[in-house]
Amino acid sequence: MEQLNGANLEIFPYPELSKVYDLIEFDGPLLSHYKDASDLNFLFYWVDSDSEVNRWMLIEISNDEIKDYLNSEISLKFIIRSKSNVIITHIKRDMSYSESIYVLQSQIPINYYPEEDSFYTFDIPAQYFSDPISENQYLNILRDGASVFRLRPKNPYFNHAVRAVDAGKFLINLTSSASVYSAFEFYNSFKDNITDPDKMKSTILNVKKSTELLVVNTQFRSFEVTLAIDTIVGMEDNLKGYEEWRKSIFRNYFEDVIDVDYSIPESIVTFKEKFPDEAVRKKIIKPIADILLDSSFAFETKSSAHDAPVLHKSINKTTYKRLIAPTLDSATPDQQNDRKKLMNFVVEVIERDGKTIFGKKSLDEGILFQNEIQNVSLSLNFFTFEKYEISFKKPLIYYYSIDSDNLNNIDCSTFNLTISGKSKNDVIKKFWNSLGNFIIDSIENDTNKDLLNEYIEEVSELN
Amino acid sequence: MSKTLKYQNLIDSQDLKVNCPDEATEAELTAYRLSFDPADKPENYLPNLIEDELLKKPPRRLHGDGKHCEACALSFFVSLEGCIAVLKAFPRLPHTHISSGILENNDGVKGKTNHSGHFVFFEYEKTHLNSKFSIIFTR
Repeated sequence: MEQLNGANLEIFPYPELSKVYDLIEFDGPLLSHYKDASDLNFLFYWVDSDSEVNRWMLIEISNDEIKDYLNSEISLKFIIRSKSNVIITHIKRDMSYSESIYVLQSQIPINYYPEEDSFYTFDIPAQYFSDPISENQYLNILRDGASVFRLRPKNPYFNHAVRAVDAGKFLINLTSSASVYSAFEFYNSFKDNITDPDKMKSTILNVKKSTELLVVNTQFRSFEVTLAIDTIVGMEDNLKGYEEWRKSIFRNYFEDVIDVDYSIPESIVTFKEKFPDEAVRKKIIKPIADILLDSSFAFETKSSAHDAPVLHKSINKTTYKRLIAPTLDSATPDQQNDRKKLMNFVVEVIERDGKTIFGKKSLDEGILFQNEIQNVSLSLNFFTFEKYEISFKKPLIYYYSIDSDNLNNIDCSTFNLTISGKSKNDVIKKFWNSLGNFIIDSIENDTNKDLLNEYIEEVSELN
Repeated sequence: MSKTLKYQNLIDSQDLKVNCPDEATEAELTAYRLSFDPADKPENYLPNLIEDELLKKPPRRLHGDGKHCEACALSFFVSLEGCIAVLKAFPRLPHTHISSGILENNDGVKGKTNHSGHFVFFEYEKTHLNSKFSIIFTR
């Protein structure tokens, strides 16, 4: 066997280990997963033998590392290299530990390292798919923080049974509203902790996944579903305060979005204060307004906030429009009903004496092709904001669109901005304002340096 | 064709508390095994217990492992990739080669294939795997 340097331990320090699974075996175990009484994970990794003992490397490993290893995201060599120390132990024929040595990373013999690409390429054993707690325990924990949502037919055609398609729409509405709410609240709660826009964007994607609504109970007399957000598994992040935030987010969503009387004008004011960005506000409240607008169903909920089920008041079309597109209030009824779209036209024009002639006639007679488009890609080279003129090193690309409620929207993923307005001029004005605020704030607070270095050419004061 | 297991005496001597072999069936498949060169070297196709004895090695067992029925059988993988992954992860394994051959119904009974593609094989009395297997990979 290889000569070992390290500190001899009097006894094997983890006598209470129990086997979880032999991950790799050939003529006996080669790599085995063990846990101790306090749920710490260990790998027994076979490294050597002589005529008396087998030599094993005991590696303490986190849940994430086990998961990543089984998913081939990290190699066995990577795991060993990441440890500052390991324990090397000898197991005799009679299974007793004969010697245990505390070995620093630098003292591990080079021959004991697996190859660089020592990935776990096998199927993941079935037991790693299930959580350490039983299915019932898991559901019971989630039910503690859950709320009940019920869709009850007002004029039952199929007795009290709800059509699958209506139940599906109901769940989709609740899910999409809660998902945007989580992302919005996460951004507000952690924007000072995560200043890199790309990191924030990828984190929000993970947050949306880990705060997705889960069905934890159902009743089919009408359609009653108990929903909760997972508070046990899912995203494991080092972000301070995240787990606490996740535990309260569903209760907050229920208070801010569900437990609200949508039929009274005050609700619009409350929503505006809570969700100042119009596009975000619409994404959160429109799905719930859609449920309340449907006169075929009664919408009831039951939560820890109330002893008895609450019947939510239905809303009419006027209230609905006020709720989801308040900026269009000043528009005439006809304008509200006319759906606006973006069209792309290819027009044949005439060039005469070096000048392109383009007028109403060209539009009437010269259209060669046309098609409806979802958005237009636009670019910005410079703009003015308050007393500043801000110019870009390269064109800043953003997307302009008109949605089904005639709201004009701008989406600029580079600066993580989504803006809505009642007209093109209105939304562009708001976009410049938000963009200017972001850039000046970043300069003053010395944040988002990489983004500014990449895009900003100059910020000069206007005369 | 005798259906007696080649190492039935070894199994009997282990005083196992479980059926051995258990849920093993005849099968036809291409199998892969960590080996030594040349392919027909006697210790290439010995059950774990006998191979350990021959090579003067203590059995490779860990805390909580009882006496294994599987130790009286031979380890195989259903794929070459499985064997290669093991060689990459365990540089101190003495095996220098991978051999491959076809196991047939008359050769013995096969245990269940696990998540890693590993299975154990109990040979019948008159089976000679060293004449059926050949080296296909060198470490």
